Amino acid sequence: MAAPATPAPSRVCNVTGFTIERNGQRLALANGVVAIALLAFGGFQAILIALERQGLAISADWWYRLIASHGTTMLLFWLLFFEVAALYWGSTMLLNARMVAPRLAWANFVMMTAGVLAAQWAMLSGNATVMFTAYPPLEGHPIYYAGVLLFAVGVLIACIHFFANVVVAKRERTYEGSLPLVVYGLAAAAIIALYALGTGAVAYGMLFLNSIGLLETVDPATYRLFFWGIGHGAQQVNLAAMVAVWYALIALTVGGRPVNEGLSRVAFLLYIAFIHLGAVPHLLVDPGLGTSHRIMNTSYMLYLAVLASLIHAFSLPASIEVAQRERGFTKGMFQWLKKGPWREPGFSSLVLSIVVFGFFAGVTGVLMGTMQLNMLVHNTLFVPGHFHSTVVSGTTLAFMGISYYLVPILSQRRLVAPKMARWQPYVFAAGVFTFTVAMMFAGQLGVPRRVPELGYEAAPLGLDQFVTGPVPLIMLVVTLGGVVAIVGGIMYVYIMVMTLLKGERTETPDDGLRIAFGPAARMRAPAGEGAVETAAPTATVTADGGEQEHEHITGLKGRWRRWTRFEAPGTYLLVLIFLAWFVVFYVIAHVNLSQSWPVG
Amino acid sequence: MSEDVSEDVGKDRGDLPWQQRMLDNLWLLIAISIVVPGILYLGWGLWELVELPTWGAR
Repeated sequence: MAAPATPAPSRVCNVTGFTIERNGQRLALANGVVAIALLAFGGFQAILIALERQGLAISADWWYRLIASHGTTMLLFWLLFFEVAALYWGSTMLLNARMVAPRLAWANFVMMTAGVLAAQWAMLSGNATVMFTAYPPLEGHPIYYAGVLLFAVGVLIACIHFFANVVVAKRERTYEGSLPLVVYGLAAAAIIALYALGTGAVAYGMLFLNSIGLLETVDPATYRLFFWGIGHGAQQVNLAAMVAVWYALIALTVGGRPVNEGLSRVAFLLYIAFIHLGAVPHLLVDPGLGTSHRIMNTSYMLYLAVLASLIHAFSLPASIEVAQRERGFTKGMFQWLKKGPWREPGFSSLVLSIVVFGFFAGVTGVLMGTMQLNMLVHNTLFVPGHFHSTVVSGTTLAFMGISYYLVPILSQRRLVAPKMARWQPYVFAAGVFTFTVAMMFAGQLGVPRRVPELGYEAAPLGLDQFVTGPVPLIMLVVTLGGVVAIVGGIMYVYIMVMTLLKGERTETPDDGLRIAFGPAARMRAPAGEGAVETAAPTATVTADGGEQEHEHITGLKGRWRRWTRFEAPGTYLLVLIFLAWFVVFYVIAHVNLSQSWPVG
Repeated sequence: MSEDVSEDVGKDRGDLPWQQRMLDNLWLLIAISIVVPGILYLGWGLWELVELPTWGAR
């Protein structure tokens, strides 16, 4: 590979074998650190919000301020800051390339941080209690809109910088052929972000001009149309980045490769073309849009993006299964899964986020993307249940998993408290799973979202529907699950902060981790905890230099033996179970619909 | 990750199937990502809103 035209200081990573350029390393770390700080800040707000549900902590006034700040922090600031870190990491380290304009990237970092601080000030001071959606005619302080705009423009510039890095890397031939799949997934995220940030700039730009008196009025329906381009579009950026991180975690933890890389790329293409239509379900009760627009986009075009997710839903576990079987775990349907590195935080984060995202977040998302079914739960607590299972169980957990590797590798510090790291994904996932499912149950019973007091105590006419019966118990489960999730979040932040501040400087930052990729996979620790577990070689070299294949799948008896014709039979069975779950969920939802609005 | 790089490393780009060249073309992907939702979601939605008699009324 040819050297860059203007070489910057760089080093070869002992763990992965990649060339790490200093600018890319520092910028990825800086953006990642701010992201983790924002996660901690948003998590602290979540404690107060969860406790308020039991009437323990704060007033309704502060609850709305915190909901506004918590939503904006977690849905925009934390995730997009982390994604900028991932874009810089992917376009430099994974391509053995360099940052094209590091000074611009630092200026951009300062601008994004300033935007976050400005918006936070406005929200927490009570000058912009407009919630995450900021629907007009609610009015916020101009500094709020300016802050969000600065941040959005900063992310846009970071995406453009990512493309510039990729183009220059190609020209300097630091990689050949197609982009590696992980970088391709990050490129899909950056591409999706361009449209999302563009529509967001129009939406927030209208409100900013209105707030300083340069635009007399903002049409609410037009605003909502543009807003959901970023409101939901930003979550689609998360989706593509999360899938890319999943593929990276498979490579890191079990040394797996996609079973059909071309098909995985086609799935990313489907995201790029159709995933933005996932914004339409937010507008299903808007009176301005016609029925054709709603039904065409939600019940037809959106399914092309769902198809992409179904492709990944097969490809990801199949990649794990094939890698594990190649390692010798060939017995039966699920030895490959049972013998997975479950004590490795990257692997547990990977599997837990895939399972919860697929079985709960994805299925409920498709349900809410169906116009008729959406009406059952629109604006109820089911909606936060859905998006917490996507953004927290899915994206946040996946990002936590990859940071157990990126932070030590980029900072060249040994991970602090590796035993706590083993448990953290389980604690966090258990808490999030509990409160998201409880939220969905509450939403099924009609409990509204964005209401601090379910008895409407401050209203002239109270409502006891949600303060009697099963709802108080369900809301208690929401709070308890939230507290457990917050404990898991604190564990994560503690490990990251202590690693950055107190972690021992080392040339082998994978100590305490078990990486199955690159030079680290060459078993620097052939025995003991760090070793990559292997059951038996799957192939042996014969005297004539050829390979004698061992049986790829063993131990299946009776009619199950015919499943050995599949390369990944365990995954095949799992996806059939997943599809059955999908059907059951859909049938239950339609039964509920028929009981809500009987026909005839 | 980098080990995922396509088996077509070293081939001249012209030798690659058109499907792969299309998937590798970032500018085409960007265009698709803007045109498809730009028409189906934004353009169509705006057209319906502007047609409303109350659109733009104060």
